[in-house]
Amino acid sequence: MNPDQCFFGYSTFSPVNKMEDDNRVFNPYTFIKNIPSQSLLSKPCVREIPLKTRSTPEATLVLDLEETLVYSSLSMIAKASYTFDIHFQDCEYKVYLILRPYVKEFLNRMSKHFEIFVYTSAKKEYAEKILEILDSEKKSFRHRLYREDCFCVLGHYVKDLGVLERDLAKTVVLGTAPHTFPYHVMNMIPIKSWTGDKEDKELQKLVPYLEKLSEAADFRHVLKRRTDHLHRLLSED
Amino acid sequence: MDTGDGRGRRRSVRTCRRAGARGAKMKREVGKVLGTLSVENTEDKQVPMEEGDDEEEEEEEANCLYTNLFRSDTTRRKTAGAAAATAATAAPRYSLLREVGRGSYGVVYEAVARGSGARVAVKKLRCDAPENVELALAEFWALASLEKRHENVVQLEECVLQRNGLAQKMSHGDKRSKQYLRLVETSLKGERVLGYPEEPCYLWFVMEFCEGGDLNQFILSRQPDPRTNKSFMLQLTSAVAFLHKNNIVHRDLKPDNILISEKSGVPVLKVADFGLSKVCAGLGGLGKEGDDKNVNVNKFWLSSACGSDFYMAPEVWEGHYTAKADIFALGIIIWAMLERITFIDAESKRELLGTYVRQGTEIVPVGEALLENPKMILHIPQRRRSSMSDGIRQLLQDMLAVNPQDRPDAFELEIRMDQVTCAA
Repeated sequence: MNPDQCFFGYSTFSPVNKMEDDNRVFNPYTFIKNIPSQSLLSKPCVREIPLKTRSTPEATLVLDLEETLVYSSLSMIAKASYTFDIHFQDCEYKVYLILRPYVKEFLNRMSKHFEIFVYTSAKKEYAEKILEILDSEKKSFRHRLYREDCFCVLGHYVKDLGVLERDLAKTVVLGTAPHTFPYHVMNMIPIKSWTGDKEDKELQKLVPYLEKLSEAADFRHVLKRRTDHLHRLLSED
Repeated sequence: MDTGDGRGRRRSVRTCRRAGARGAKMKREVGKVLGTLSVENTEDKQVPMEEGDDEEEEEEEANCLYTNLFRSDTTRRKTAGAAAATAATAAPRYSLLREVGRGSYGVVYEAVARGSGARVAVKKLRCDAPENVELALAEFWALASLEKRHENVVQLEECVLQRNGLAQKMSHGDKRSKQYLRLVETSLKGERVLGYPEEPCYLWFVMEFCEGGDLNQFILSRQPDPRTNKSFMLQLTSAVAFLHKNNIVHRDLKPDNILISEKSGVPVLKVADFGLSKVCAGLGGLGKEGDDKNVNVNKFWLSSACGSDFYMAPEVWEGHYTAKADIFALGIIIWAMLERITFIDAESKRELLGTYVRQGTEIVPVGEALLENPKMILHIPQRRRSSMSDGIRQLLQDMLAVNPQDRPDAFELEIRMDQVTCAA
């Protein structure tokens, strides 16, 4: 029985269709496959990002924030290392924040090989509070991109590496959800979503791999092997 | 990408300006992604009520699993088993009768409340895509923040959050509700909080039902009537003044979002669809009372363009505007209503009330044309043979001023509208 019937029941003989198609579950692969061509998207008001300087590493690492580097929640996280308040629709909410194991070392190591971007679909004021904690000295992330730098496709915020104006052959993205970079799946290393496992070693494991990758001529060729299964999924019907 | 004619339109407009042809093409492409959703406007169809509804509802009572779901979390947990026991007497509070509108945001139903037998409109919003969640919360905030009723603003009866077969009544800012916190979290993060492939949740808004359809249908299906026009002008002005007084900028005023109730015999307008509205609460000012002093919606700058093209003020196309954008939209609507100026919407193929500027073979929204050429003179009235009074003509000119500061605010508008409608 449709759960709606508890509160909202369908009249038995009414023309309302009970088996509505809007019960479909979001499928990230279908989403990527059917994404409208990039040229058809209206661009967000693109921000000018300073070019690399001579001392900036040639390679670029784009990091997702939530569940990649940290995990934050409005629901209580026991023994959360950090908390902060956020204002939303005229209410204050307490946010609990925990950092993924090894994240600070990861950022330290990576900043020697990559120019690091953080690119999140979170609201700027929310992400800034997290970054204040994660990168209080503003050493790790050279650039910070937020919701306002995302596009919206069918209600989902997606990111476009084009905004960065960096060489795509030398750009790698680390994030949990490939559908948020639908145009650059080739540049992506999907990482397991992290929501608090203290034994997690994903970031640590990636360090040697990324260090090696930063030397490659075209990251996408190297990454292809890693993301093969993803491409197979995408080519399935 | 947003209401009826779609989330599509709203979103593409919101993200930034877009070139006309390219924008249209994009909308079509997006439609493909959505696939199965047919897009229609709210309150579009006029299907006569079927007889014998009562008997059908009886049948359904026996079918329903859960009973009263207006319970706190703790009681619900305790009585999860008991619910099955009482199933025989359980009845849904609202019986959905027919679908009246649909878009990617969700579905609107006409329904009947079991207790009172009253007709209600039930809007079911799917809350999985982050932006849908934001729009739903924005609408809920706006409607919930209106403590007092206004005859010309659609009334929210209640809001219910449903997930995995459980439903609970929701209140704005309810920090005790885990589900509500998840929605806020989704809004803040811009990501789906639940993992794939979890079942999405739904927000249901129960609102008063407006059997008279929307302003397009109402006006265009009747002979012009100066008395109705005059009454509608006053009602619309009063609604917008009320909203602005309560620090709410609607941001998407258009005939589609203006519904008509005829319960009292005379047509009463109801401003609806607050998905894009903005509550301009003073930052940090948590007390509702104190806010009015600090916030002047006419000076409260909002960013991100939104609203449908034809009713959008020039500054909205640029993405920075205040409550004065609502005044501009109202100017377009009233002007179109008085002269019955319409266009055919490219997507829905419906005839809509709205004024425009002709450029060669194309029609261009007034706001867009004014943005390109701020010195452009609007020909009000448009028709040569018009009975429009000078007072109304001047008022419309002022409402449609390029510079938002030259437009009257909602309170000045109320006074002037009274004057011009009395004189006419």
